[in-house]
Amino acid sequence: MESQLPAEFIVNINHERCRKCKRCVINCSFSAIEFKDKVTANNRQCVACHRCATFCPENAITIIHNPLDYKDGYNWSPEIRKNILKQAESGGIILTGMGNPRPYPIYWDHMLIDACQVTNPSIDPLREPMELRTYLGAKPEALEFEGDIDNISLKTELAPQVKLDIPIVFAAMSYGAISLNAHKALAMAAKRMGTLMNTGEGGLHEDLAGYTDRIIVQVASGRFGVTSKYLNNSALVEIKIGQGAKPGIGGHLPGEKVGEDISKTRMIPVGTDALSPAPHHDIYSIEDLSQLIYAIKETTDYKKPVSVKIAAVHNVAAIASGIVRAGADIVMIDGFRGGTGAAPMVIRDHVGIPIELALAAVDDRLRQEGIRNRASILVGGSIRQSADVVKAIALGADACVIGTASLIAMGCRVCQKCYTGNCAWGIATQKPELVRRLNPEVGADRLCNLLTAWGHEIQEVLGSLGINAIESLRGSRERLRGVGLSQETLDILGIKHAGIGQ
Amino acid sequence: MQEYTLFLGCIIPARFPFMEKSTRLVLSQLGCILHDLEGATCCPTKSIVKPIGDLAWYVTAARNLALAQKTGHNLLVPCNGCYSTLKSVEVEMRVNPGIRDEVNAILASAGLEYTGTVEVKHLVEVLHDEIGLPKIKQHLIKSFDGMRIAPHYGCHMLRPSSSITFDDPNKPKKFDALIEALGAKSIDYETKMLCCGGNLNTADEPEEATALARIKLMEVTKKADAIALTCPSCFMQYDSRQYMMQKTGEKLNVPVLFYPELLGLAMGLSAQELGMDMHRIDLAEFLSKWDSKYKYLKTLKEVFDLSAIRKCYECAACVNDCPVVKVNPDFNPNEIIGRLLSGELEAVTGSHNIWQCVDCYTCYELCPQKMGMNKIFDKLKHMAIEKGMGPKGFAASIEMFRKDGRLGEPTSMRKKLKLAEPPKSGGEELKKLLDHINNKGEENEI
Repeated sequence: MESQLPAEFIVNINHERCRKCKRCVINCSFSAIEFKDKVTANNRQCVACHRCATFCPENAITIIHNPLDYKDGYNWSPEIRKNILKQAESGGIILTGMGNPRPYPIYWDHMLIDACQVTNPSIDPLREPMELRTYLGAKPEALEFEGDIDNISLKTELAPQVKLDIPIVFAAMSYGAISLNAHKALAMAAKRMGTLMNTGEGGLHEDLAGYTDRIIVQVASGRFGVTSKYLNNSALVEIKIGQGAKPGIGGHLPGEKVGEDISKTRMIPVGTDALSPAPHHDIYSIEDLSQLIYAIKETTDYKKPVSVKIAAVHNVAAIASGIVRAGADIVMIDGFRGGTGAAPMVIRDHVGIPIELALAAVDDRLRQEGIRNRASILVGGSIRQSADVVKAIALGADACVIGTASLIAMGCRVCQKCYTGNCAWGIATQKPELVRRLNPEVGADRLCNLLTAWGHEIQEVLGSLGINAIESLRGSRERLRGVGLSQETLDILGIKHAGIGQ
Repeated sequence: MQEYTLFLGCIIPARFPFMEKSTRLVLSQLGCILHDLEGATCCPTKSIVKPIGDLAWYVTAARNLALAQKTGHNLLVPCNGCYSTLKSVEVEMRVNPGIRDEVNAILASAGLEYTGTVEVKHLVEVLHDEIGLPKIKQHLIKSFDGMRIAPHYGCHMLRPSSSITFDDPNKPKKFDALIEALGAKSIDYETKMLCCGGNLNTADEPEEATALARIKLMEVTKKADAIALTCPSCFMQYDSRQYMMQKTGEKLNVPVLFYPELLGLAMGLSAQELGMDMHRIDLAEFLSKWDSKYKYLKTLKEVFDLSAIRKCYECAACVNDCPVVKVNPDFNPNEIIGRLLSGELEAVTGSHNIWQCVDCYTCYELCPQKMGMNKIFDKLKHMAIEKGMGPKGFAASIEMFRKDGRLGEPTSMRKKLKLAEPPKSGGEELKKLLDHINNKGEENEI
């Protein structure tokens, strides 16, 4: 039956300006615009992806929220009612894409950064060197040296390290969830900027062979595309236990998206659903996890750091401690606002905890147990701006990962329809005519611009803090102050309230 | 494995047994087991039997339902009229206990009872919702790609929506989806939801019945290659009545296809096997058009990305930006692409027009899909050269390129300008490389 749900958006076409070139019709991948003597909108299909409005040569298109309002109700909000209506029509789980958009507190926006005044001079990053470089991997308890003062060398054997020129890494997004052109753009940008991209759980397409030293390869519960060659063709290997957008549940790439190329990369037949189980079927304890970590280390000859990625959940600190003791060189924590190509809305919006609190708790726990040096901490789950990166590092992270921000840089308009495979911007789709819309070269340029811009901003902040290296800021919670937070939250974050001095 | 009890009604076995044939053939290929309904009677037809009396209508239908209940399988109904009647009574018996008890009290005297444990399903409902489009697509052998089919739902597949809810009564989609699953284009047309007028015959108004059928046929003949339907009464209107019109000199030539026939053809069954030679309106022209279209598109697909060219043809946004169009209004790149799709590959390759594309990439830069017509022209030009065609000046240049690897020799002008001798040509080495490609004997196009 035809849906009785009102349209969410209205597409207004200014017919006086429209010269009937029909570019909007071909640009719309959601069938929201038709041509019947003149351009006509099918409002119900519109997802506000902006593709038509962006490419209209006459600027004749505007998209507005449907002013048809639901009767007021703080409790039975329009969104809640819309979802009930949808489910009453379909009987299905509501699927969605991108990160949790609900108005939970954003703690980044309740933390403020310190700056130097008078007695401790600030530094001008345009005149003096300012280091953003950092290294991922286990650090030794202490360093021993050999030789004499003129010919000194390091005696301690270091665990494998991966150098990052900027403490921002591209988040795990699989080839399947996003297009090959998007993957190429991320890989090229990672190489140019001296950082890393992450294959996600979809394996590594052969076109990315030239970028392997800048690629994190992921081993997830579906084990798609995992071979010893795959593990060795990498900067580091990540075991994915959980994802911030959908902690505790698996993944599902529908068969329609599994074409020839994806089938080869994932090593599954064409047209079959790629199902990632909720758990790894060989991991039911920290000891099991340790076995997988060491199996990977054996396979990679102890030359690659091994990371374990988990979603931020209630017991995250104890889990992270177990992961470090199991032998992981990196712990990646993904907060409850982390993005996804497809997840049930109920999970995305209601499961997990904020990354700010999880990070503070994990860093604290590892310090208390004296094992913080044994692993680097990577955090993600809605890092939206350079200030978030600075605050995360001051809270104890080694580096941040960005997913949604990198997609937005490539053109994503956060319409949250990634799961439909109709992405009008050629990012979250496998349809050849849509994938073509994303030029990998242009995408890479835009990603590099974003990282360069954030890098400059981070340098400005470091200068104002009077320090000249990002590593000097790590875990320096004294340089943060909270505003409008309860005492308990301040205690968890390990920061003082604004207004309190040393 | 799906099992159904087949309810054919009166018209299909009596007048159009080929409909039964195709239904049985395609459903068995799709893995369905069909059981017959012993003792079945007329559904009964609402327009004729209901006026006799409500209860007679209910009891006749409920008796058929009670018999079906004994078989234990849901009823599969390929006739719209039977479906609408049986479904209406099934739902009425479920939601209205008063009628159920009254009807069952009468059925009891024949030792029958309908308790609502079997459901009535339309053929389209079963194919779309239960067998599913992916399974149908798996059985495709010869697609109807490039053919335009006008879907005729027929009123009683969808109405009354008080009982029938598997598709929208005014804007249905599922029959269209079944047609498109076979590769055909299911066209949207103004009279799509217009009644066939069949019941006007029972009202002794054959002329009005013809007039109503004619309206749709007039539109379809202009817009589609055939009409597809699932109802024997509608079929009678469009096939038999069109034949009568033909006899009086009005030739509309609209082939009328029962959906299982269309599906059977796509599955590789022959028109003879399906009994399609029993139609009154001749299908030969339709079948041969389909066959040549199929063969042509197969060749075209080897060279071009068909879905991309189709989008390109429909869009045509860049045509007004093409610089050549500005000096030569007769050059219409979009029309060339249209001809390519309609079967004129050879004529297009031989035409001088394709050389008027000047490789300026204007269309590519303005293309929302980053496709651009220039890519199509690149391929056409290559095909022309392969066949030894192309502008004269062009052939001479190619000759020179093949010989020296350059398109011009230095002249005395250089000396006047006191320029040194140009670097030596690598023509010899290039020639070897190009010979290497030729010797491999492979297609030169990537």
